[in-house]
Amino acid sequence: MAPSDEADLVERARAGDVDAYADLLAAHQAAARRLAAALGGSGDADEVVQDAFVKAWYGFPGFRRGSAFRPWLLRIVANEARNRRRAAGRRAGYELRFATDRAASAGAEPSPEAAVLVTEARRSVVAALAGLPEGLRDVVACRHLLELSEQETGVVLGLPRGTVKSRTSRGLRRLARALEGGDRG
Amino acid sequence: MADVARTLAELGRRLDLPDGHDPAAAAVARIRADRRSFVPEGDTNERRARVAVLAAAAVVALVVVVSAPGPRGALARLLGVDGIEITRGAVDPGLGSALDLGEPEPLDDAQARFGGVSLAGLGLPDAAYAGRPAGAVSLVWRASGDLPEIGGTGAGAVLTVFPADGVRIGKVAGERTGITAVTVGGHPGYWLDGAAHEVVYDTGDGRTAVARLAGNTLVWSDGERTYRLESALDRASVLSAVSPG
Repeated sequence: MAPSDEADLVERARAGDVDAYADLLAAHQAAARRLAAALGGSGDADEVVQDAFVKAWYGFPGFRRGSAFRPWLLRIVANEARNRRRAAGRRAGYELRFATDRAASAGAEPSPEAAVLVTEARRSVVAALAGLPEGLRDVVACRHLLELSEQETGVVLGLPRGTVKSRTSRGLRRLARALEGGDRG
Repeated sequence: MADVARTLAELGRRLDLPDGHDPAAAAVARIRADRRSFVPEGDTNERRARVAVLAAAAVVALVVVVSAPGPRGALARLLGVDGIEITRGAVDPGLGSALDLGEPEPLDDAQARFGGVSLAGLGLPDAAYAGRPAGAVSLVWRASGDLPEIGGTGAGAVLTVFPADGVRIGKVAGERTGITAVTVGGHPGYWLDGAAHEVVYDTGDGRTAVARLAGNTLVWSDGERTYRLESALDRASVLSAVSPG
């Protein structure tokens, strides 16, 4: 979507045009779903996104005219995902689901043995990611799982850029240690 | 570390989200439903019609409190809750299906106006509105597993605060609505439950009233402000949830 088109939709949505808001959401839904899954796990991602989109609509009075819509919207999604995670407390699991290799590689189906190895490798990475403190995990997930820029990660998580950088570095170090079987924090 | 980052990026590209789910469409449907449940801002004719029906209902009411401006304050004080009048009478089931709480308000701004009153266990509210009735601010919690829906509104709880003497509120209660005197943090209040009842707001400046179907309702006043909490919860649950601040 061209920036001018988006700016027009944002203005119309701010004025109460639900159709314009629906168009905006359609443009950013995929990113929002991935973010919700990365921060809170795949299980509740769609519920998180739905609630966040409703809250964003009612939060339009707090949207600064002329600022970028996507980071503002994703920040609301991130807050919703983290609030829900906190509310769930210890009961909250962190589980990510991944597309099958066949779906991801357009028909090149792996052998059963290879599939098992790939699945196990993924499990290890996700388990190591789940074992990180939340402050590190969120940053690593945004930066590397979702490949957001440092700046966008900072906006979405409400962190200064320097904090994003330092947490990313610490998080990756801990992940590497965990995957080597020697995580000592 | 580079390997870990590369592995994460590869995994991220394969992050799987179920096909056929469209949370944006669901959110938009909820927003449209919310908008339908609100009486349009300028629709004073509809409000007048609602008030007329309520007025007709009041004629056959067993009057507990007369809503004339003069004796109103004294009677309300006699009841112990400034700004609240409770009138027992017939209920029109067509009335009150609309939440009409004013304009959306940033949550932080709205919460700051509640003078420390909070509801334990409900978490953060989902929406806030201001201006209906004049001077009032309302926080809305969406219905959930622990918070049953109030009469098809989508809301599980609505907490409204308004200046105790700044607005006149008549609550037209059906004959099957229970009215019980309670105390909330040492402040006088009333608990209304049972059958649905209707709420009439009169801003006192000649503007029309608003009516809506109410769930179980707790009203109380700390002398400066009057609070009104509506939900489908029982009295014990509500009284234990309210922290008067």
